[in-house]
Amino acid sequence: MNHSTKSMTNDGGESQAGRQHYRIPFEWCLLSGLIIFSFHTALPGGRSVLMPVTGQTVLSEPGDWHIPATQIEWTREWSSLSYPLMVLLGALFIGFLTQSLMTLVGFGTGMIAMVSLSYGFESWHFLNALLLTTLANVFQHVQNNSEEKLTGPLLILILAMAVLTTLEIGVACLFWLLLFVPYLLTVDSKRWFKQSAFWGTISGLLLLFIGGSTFGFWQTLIRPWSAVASPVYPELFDSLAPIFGAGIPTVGQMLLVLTLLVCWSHAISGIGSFRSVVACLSLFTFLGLLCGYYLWLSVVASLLCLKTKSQTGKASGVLTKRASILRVATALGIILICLLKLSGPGTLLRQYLFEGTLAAHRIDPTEWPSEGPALLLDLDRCSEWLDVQMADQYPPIIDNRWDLYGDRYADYAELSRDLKEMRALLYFRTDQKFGGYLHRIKDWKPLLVVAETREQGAIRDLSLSPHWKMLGIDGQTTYFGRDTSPLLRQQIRTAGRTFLNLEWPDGQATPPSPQVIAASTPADATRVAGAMNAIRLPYAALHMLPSDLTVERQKLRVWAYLELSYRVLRNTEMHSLLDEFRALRLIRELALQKQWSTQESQRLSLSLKGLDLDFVTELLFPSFVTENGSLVNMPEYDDMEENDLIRLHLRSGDSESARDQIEDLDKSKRLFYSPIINSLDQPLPELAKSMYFCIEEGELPHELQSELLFYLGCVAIEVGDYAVAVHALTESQQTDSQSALTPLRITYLQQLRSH
Amino acid sequence: MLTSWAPYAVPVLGLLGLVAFSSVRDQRNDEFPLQPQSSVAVGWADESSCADCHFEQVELFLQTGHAQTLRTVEDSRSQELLQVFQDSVSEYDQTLRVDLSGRDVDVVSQSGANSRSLELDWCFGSGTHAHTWVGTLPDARGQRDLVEFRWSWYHETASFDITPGQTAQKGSGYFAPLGTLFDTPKARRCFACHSTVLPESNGHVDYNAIHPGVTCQRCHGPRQSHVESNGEIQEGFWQAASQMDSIKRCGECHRIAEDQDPEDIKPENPDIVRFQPVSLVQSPCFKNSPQMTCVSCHNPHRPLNSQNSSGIWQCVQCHDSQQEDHVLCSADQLDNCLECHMPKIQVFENIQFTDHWIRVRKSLPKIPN
Repeated sequence: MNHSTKSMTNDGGESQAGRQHYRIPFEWCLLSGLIIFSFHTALPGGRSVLMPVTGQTVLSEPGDWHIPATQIEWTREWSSLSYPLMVLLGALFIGFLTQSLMTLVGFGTGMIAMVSLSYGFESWHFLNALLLTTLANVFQHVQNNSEEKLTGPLLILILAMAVLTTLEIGVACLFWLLLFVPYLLTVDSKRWFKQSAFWGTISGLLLLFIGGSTFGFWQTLIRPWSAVASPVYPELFDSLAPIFGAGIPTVGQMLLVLTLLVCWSHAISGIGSFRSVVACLSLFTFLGLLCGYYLWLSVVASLLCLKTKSQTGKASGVLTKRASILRVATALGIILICLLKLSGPGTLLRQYLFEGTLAAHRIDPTEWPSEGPALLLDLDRCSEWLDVQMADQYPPIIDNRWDLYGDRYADYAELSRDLKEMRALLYFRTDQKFGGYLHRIKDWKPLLVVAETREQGAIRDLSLSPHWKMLGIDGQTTYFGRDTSPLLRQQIRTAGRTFLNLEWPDGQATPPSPQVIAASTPADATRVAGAMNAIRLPYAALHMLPSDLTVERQKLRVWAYLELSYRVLRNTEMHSLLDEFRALRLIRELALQKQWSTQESQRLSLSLKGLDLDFVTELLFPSFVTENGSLVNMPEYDDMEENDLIRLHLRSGDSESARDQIEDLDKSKRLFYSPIINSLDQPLPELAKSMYFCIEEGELPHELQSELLFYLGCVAIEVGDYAVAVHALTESQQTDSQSALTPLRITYLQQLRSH
Repeated sequence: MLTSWAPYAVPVLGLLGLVAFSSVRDQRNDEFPLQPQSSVAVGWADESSCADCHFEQVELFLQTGHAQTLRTVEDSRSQELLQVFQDSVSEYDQTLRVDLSGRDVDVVSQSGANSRSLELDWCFGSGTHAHTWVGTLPDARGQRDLVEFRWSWYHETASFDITPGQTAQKGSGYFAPLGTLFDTPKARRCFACHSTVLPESNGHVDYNAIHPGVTCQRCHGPRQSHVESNGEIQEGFWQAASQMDSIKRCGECHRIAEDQDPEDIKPENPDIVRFQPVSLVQSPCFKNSPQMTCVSCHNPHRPLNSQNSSGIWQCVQCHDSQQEDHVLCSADQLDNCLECHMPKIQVFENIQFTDHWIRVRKSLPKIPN
């Protein structure tokens, strides 16, 4: 069907569409709100940044250009909104846009736009998006009513709003030029030229005046360009990187890119309007793809551009039966996905509906009685961090004003790297400069270091630093505080106590302090557990870990068991049969399912080497071992004594061989090995019971009984049963006080009894 | 039907193409000014080639303390001293024994039926002051912690004693009878100052590829281009180094003032004597001599005992009695400057350090004979 035919047949539809355009599109707002709520979880009491409060950083200079509305006392209160209000506003905006797109471009495009914009919603771009939409509406009005006198003042007003409320003045100006200039070149009206020359001069003078009287305004104006042109520091500012140049894009980014491609597809297929939208689409595609920070806004701009240039309506007014079914099915599908996301075990909705409570979702540092600069190891967090209260209490050292402070990012990235690698003192770097964070810290005096919880290596090194102490952790962020700050002393103490309580049960099942640990969803709990294990608190990690058996959680269990194995080996020179067996059997199971990545198998091989189990690496990851050319001495099973052989089979996670071997053992030894072989096949309380019954049989030689009692104590710690743990470890000590396990048993008992 | 899906099929295919393309990393990332640690060995030359042209310097340099500041436990000097320790261990700790019989060197602490052991891997220190042995312990993440052995050999007494920093009273914990456990960052710091290259891969130090001792490229930087161009390429740190750059280079291991708590930098604090650059930069001599650096007095290419680093030739460059305009010693001394102005300070029981805070003192520290 060609273009002209479509417009002829859709005349009636257009008027119908026009009527639809001005009603509130409840269905799309609802769907959009549901998606935003499902995938941008925050506590209902939380706030979302509307206008980032920049300019309060340690490195900012007084007089630099920042959003004027955030510098005035009564307007800066509006720099962030409550989370439900933000969801509502976002949903309304996306709902209206979706409806108009469906009317003008088609249902599919509208639906894709709705899903992608909602999924990737960015509250700090909301005002920019609103301004672009207003510009697009004014332009549409101009197109339809060429005699409109208020257009010029209206455009100046929009520009002024952009200057007053956002940093993305450049995007607004660009969008304005891309919409109006091609149009003015095509219309045949001298009055239009006069008007545009007049208002253009006014705007130009306005910009010149502001730019001339403040520092940094011009830099702010070309901010999109400097985002694309400035060097990328991926470990510092991932969102400035190109979408397809720095690893696999996220789901949200893929959806947004898909929407951009759909825009292009429509522009190309609509031959008549192609030339008028190509400049706009090209520029915003370029911006969005080369700089992830602008992707969401670029998609909004592209959709608005497509909308304003679409001359035909696709909505026929009366939907066919198939189209209606398709719409309902799509909407139901989205609702289903969102509900599944919201109602998963431990999620907010479930907590609220079934438990009537809301566990803390994120740590709120503003509740700590302290204030001072914050050093964000990931500057992508700036957009969320620059909430008015947070910025007042913990101003960042530097923020996301790459337009003004981009030249300081190299220094900052180096500092961030030194902190992550715990390089405190002076050292000579490979770029022939001197590094070491201590020198910078003296200049900038940060009170907090804010790390991403997923960065386990950095968290581990920071936790070992003599200068920083862990203050709190949630699924996204881990906070460290300067150890010398008296303001943080109480929080440091509370955090230390909370972590130890989590590692060593106190018999009272005290829940972790929400001021220190916040992990209300399984995903958050898993990330927190990973960080706990990274700081060598494996029992705390196992206590945090959700009980399900997903691959991610099983992998974390492997690392926790390996950590425990190392703890036992390091403190006793004995291999922990229980922990090594569980770790290795899980490693084997996951290797059979091909769940280990190359990087993970490398890490595992290093870890197993320290346990003298490197031959297992060769068995499980032969290609990795071949590539690395390492030769591993396989154990000589034939020369081994029966017990050693069974122990080796168990330590290497080979339950089948171990099971075969113990068949020939006498009953007392079988009693010892059986619970260990079955340790992963039963819940922990059952495992503890079976160990207890084996010990109660009273037939075990005393050294094996002592060892099994030790394992029982360890399982009890894992279960969180203080009484059984203390009893079993004490019994173990009394049964064989000369055992190599003694120093560790004493340490465990001291830890348990120290509460 | 097909036509209506076409506008969406093309973008989906395009998106898949872009995702495939995303495995290619962005070239702009290379602008990051700091090489990743894994590439720390980039540009390093095989140091055996240094002797091809700089044979005299290399021959003498290999005798310096810097060159010998780290060795493997199997090294002959290390084995020799451990043998001495094995023979006399009961004088120090009756629960301890050294096992030199096997391929590995193990120290074992036996208390009743409980035994604790540690495999020693490295011997730190050139021996000018002391030798201290360490064992490295792997952890679950593939990193290595370090246990510093409780007993060190001291040059001053030619005998063993408790390692500096460790207490006479044994602590608690598995390794307490054997030494002190250091975590990975601290272990890395120890090796970073006692080696020339500390290669890392995937965030893990590759201990098998360590270049032990502070040798040519530790101070001169990677010299592969210099070697490959037969000496044509001369660029390097030292040609452009300012006075403070030079001090910082030595201070990388010997510490600089900025590493210290300002309150600790005071004449009466004997601890900072260990950190020569910290003291030196406090000296009026340094403050009034824009050319003065560590290498003004010390030739880093020669062993200390083969150079006159403690003479007066350095001092008389500015305090020459033959020059009328030079400031002279108020005590009318014409030699032995160091005795009063840079005395040796007993910092640890068995180790003395020369105080590099050159100054006029009211009294001299007492050094036990």
